Amino acid sequence: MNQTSPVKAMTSRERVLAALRREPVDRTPVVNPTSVATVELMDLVDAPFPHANRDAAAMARLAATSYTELGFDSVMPVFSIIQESSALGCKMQWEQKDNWPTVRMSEPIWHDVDDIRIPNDYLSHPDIVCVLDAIRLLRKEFGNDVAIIGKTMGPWSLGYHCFGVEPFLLMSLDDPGKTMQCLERMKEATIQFGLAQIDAGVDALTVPDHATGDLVSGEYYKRFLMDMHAEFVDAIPVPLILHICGRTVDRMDYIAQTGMAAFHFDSKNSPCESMEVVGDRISLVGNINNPETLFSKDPADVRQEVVQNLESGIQMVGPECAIPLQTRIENLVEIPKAVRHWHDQHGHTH
Amino acid sequence: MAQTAELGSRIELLSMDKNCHDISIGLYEQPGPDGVPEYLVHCYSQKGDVAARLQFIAEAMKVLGGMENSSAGRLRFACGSAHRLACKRLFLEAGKLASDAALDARRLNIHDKKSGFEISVDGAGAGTYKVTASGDGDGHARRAKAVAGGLRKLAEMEETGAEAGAAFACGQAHDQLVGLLLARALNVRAVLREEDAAAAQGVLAAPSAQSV
Repeated sequence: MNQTSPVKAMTSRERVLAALRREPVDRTPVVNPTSVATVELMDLVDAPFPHANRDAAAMARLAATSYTELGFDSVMPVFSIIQESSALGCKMQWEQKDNWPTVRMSEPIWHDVDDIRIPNDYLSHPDIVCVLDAIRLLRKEFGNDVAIIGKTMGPWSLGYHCFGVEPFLLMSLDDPGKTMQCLERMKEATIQFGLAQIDAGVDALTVPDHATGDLVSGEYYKRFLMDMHAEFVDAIPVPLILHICGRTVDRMDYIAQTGMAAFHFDSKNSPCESMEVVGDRISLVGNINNPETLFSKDPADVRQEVVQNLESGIQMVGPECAIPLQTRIENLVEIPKAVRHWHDQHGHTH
Repeated sequence: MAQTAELGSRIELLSMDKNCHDISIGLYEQPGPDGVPEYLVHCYSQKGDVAARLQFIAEAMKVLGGMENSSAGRLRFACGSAHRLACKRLFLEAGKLASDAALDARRLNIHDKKSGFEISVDGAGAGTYKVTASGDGDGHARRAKAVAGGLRKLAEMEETGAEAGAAFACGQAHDQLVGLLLARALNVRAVLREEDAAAAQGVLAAPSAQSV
């Protein structure tokens, strides 16, 4: 645990940045590296999906509720995982208020290495500009009070979106060399968007790269992604939070070697076993279960999971992934409440 | 300053109301001063006609489900029981109605397209109901039993000892509620499928788990 008492009171932003560096904090920060948007919060600030994914002002209003309504220490304007893919030319389903926009991966835009083109005007695409403008609006509104986290998708996720899941995975089996070439080309999209968000004012970036436990082994992660993720640390000069869904303990040792500031981990991995693997080499964030606990259970159950994370020494508490859009506000508000209560009980200042 | 309020526990959500700007309407439960569960129909949208829409849904729950206003202006059942599951279904049914729909309590009989029978529900006192099926053909008892099973499932009613019976644990009659749920009790599987689809809506899957 990185608390030392007494630590002077911190702003939310200071708290998050310290936890990302594994430095002492006044209390464990509550962080949202993916999305805490809900349909009720959309109503509250008149920023419904899909509009809030495509209009900067709506995006910023909805993102702000993470701090103003839920009491989290961070805001995240990039709710979805499709902004880059839209800018790269993928066919989109923008869906409606109560569902997530998705890429039509059954209609891939690329089939081979030479198809991969990062458009010259990539950063001028409206779905990219929307994110950059939303970040500027949030920075203007909140100054240094709250941590603004952006998101730039990693090349493995972009591979799924642009080649289709099955073709991309088959290519990785049939021709690993070509797969590496593809990743090398696609990583430019990750880096460019990340740097643009830094210019716009983010404090940290989530890098979702869906080498998920169900389809990709730990050895696959090491072979294809570990070095590239380490490269991102050098190329993108803010703390990076890697996000991979599913059971990932088998690759956490590799992830901890990348130099990433934090790993956003799934509830399929227990906090204790995860901490044992990573030690103090990388911060851990997340782990509160979405589909069962936050979506279907009660605040008391949320509290229990928060405490389990705190007792395990997790550096930042938050949902394991983007929460279901119908999640109850009372369960989300319980996360920071439970953190404060736990620190009160343990005599830490906050 | 947070604008969200402590409204109790949200037990149901109409995530997009097609009859009013696609707003999201929640049904919140909290105990009243006497401990009786009370319900609130609430939406965070501040659009102009939202208040009238919420008022309509609350009114529909009174007419279609026999609820009444509490002293705090919330909704409750006169018997003092929660009837939580029935209340959730009542809320969802009320939310399907346009705000200009006529509100009349449903009858306790209905034509069953699946069997071609007329299905009737009769109160037998102390919150107990008996389902009967009539009309041409065979299998009346089996169909009546199935519909009674549907009512028990939809409204958390209890067995009565009779094959085609269902009873409210509170021991009080709830004719409007039974009338409303009767149409849905004819095809409980469809209701459950609808609920499963609603629960899966809005959950973000990893790209590897998406089907598009």
